[in-house]
Order: sequence, then structure tokens, then C-alpha cells
Amino acid sequence: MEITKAHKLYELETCLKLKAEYLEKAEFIAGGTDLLVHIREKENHGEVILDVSDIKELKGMDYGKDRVTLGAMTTFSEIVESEWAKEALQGLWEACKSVGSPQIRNTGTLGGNVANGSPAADSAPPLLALGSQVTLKNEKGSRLVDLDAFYLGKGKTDIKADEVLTQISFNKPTGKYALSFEKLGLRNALAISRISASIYMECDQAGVLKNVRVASGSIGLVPQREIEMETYLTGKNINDSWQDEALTVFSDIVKERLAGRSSMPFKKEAIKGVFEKALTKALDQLV
Amino acid sequence: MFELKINVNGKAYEVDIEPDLRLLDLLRDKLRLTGTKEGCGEGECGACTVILEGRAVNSCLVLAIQAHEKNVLTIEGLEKGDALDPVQQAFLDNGAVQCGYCIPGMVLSAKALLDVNPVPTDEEIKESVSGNLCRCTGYDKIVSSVKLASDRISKEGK
Repeated sequence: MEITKAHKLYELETCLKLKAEYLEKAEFIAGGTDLLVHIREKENHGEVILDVSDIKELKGMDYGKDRVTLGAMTTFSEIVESEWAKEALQGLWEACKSVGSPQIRNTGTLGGNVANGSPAADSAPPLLALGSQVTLKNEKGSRLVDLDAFYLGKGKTDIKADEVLTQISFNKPTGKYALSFEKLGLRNALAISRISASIYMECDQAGVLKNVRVASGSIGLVPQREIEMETYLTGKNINDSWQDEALTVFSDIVKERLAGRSSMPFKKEAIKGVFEKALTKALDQLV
Repeated sequence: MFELKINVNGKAYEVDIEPDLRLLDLLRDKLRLTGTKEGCGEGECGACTVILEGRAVNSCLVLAIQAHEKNVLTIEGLEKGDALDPVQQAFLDNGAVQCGYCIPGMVLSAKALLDVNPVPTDEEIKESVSGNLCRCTGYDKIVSSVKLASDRISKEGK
């Protein structure tokens, strides 16, 4: 679609007002690393561009007392350069580090990564494993949506025509926990994820796993929580030997979900390698 | 139309632009700074790399309006009078240039690294150019050139 107008914005209020006027006719540009490709392929949806990349209310990372809040304009590089994120949110840090290239990480944003609704979005599995929520604002107010309810279908999210995704937030993990991530791409950089997994887990003094959240990318139409895997892992003891069985369980899930798709024979095997690595990384963090 | 104000290589420009003009096209077509190349137009090759507000970016993936009232450094902005930037000089002295097409992007990615990390490890150098593809050289001399530039800059500073 031809672009006829662009608004350079500095304040959220102005942005909300304009989006309410234009509705579907306007599309946001945050980092631009996805939108510019869509424009090039003539697959962009809006004739008006709202440039949100300099709106101050969308920036900033707050890892305050109980809640971590990431502005939608947080770039992948900002997460990678955060010592705190590297230490406390290893899986999210690794996922952000694995995106594209340094140039893409310098402009690409978490908000854009989530709002685009791609099943292959690298930040989605760890954000899902963290139990994240997104804040969606319009002129009338704001609502908080669980990330795992935000994805409605391939490329489709629960964002309404007059809304802006302003923040991603989650409860600050504490105590003994692990957050891991593993992705399979076709090369070491500039690689779209073919399959990915992220695990959040806690364990008690005896080594029993609890509060387990597992999420996947590129297994199906949306990034999603893997409830069967969470059920499987909960209650397992980190000192016991069940890790090989876990891989088979996940492989069977993939085989069923992707039945009939040409990627299934590959993905049902690939998930074993990916999940093994994610699991090993998570268990290592718990030691 | 959008009245763009932008600083490129230390010089202020005011240009009336179409809303969907890419930063790459602003530089090449409007400002005639053709050192920045278009290799793929989709952020996969890094030939279009420029430094925007101190960070390496693919100018084919940035709309010019996103650079409104910002500072951009292109390959043309590296030389100082008659002298080349140490990174440029190292690439030349070390034989890292073959066809030359990837080089502006490579040099700027390297410069963006050295500006924040003056003594990088080999791994850090390789990662800094991991978004820049080269079909000619096999990357070896590019990486060693960045190392050479880093050594020379350190010596100069002493």
C-alpha cells in the first residue's frame, strides 16, 4: 500500500489521538526492521505511518521492586547491554542477543517483535515463559493482556485498531529460578528461528521443580505456552534422570500438532535437540 | 511531504522528503553520498550500514523521518582532511579490500565497535561484523584489519 503521510511523534497522547482518528489506516513504525521489509514487498497495511520511535513514554527499562517493566521501544541491544538482564533474565538476554545482527538489534524493538505476532519472534518464548503481560493503551484508557492470550493466530494479535502497545511487564523473578532459551536457525547470525524453546523454572530445597513455564516459537501458528510440558516437568526432581524422556514427550507433541505439515518430520526431531539444550541451560542455572 | 532536518557527517541539512523515503535513499539520492551501498534492501547484508546516533544501523531499514534531528555518520565522514580514519587505513594496509562493495559497511560496523570498545577480542570483532556479508575475502583479513586498527589507535593514544 502506498504511503501518503508520516507523523513524527514525541508524545504518547498525540499518538493515541492520531491512532483513534486513523484506526486501520495508520501503521506504527518503532524500529522499522520488519515494517521496511513489508513496505519493500508492498505488504504494508497502512497509508499513514506513525513514527513512535522517539516517544519518551515508550522507552526505558524498570526493574524495580516486584515488577519488571520494559517500554515497547526497548531495543534488543538495550537488553543485551544490560548487566542486570544478563544476570537475572538469562533466557531473554540470549534470545535478544540471537536476533538478526548488531545493526538489527540496534533498531529492532521488543514492542515491535511482540506486536507483529510472528510465530518466529525470538523474544516471545522467554517473555511467555516469564508470564508477561502487555499494556495496550487507547484514548479511553489502558488494559493489561496476558501475553499468552495476546496471540490470536498467525500474524494476528489482540491489539485493537485504536490501541498502542506501550509496555511489556512481568513479575520480577526471585529466589532460586532459571530462565533459558534455545533457538535453531540456519546460521549463526541473521537467522530467523526455525524452532525455539524457553523454560522458566523454580525448584525447592529438595530439588523438586515448581512454577514451571515452557514456551515455544515456530511450532504452530503462534508463539505459545506448552502446558503439557509444564505438567510433565512439574514435580520432577533435578537430581533424577528423566531428561531423555522429556525430549520424547515434546517430540510427540510436535508430531501431533504439526501432523500433515511438511515441516513436521524435521521439527519433531529438531525439538529434541533444542529442548535438550534449553533444559540443560535451565538445570545449570538452578545448581 | 516532510521537512526533514538531519546532520550528516557534521553538516546540517534540510530536505523536503516523501514520507516513505528510506535513510539509504536520502543519503545516496538526495545528498549524493553514494559511499553507502544497497546490497539487498532487506537488512540481510549490511552493505548499507551507517552510524546513527552512535549505533550501527542498516540504512535500508530506517525511514529518513526516524533520523529527523539526529546525527548520521557515513563512510564519507570518516576521513579528516587528507588523512583516512585508522580503520580505513588498516583495511588498506592489511589487504582487506577486494571488490570493495561491502567495505563501507564493514568499516562503519568496525568503527561503531571501536568507539565503544577500543580493545575488542577477536570474538567481539567477529560479532561486530556479523551483520556484514562479504563474498570476496573470506573475512579473515577484515577481522585482522580491525585488530590492527585497534592496536594502532591504542599506540596513538599513548
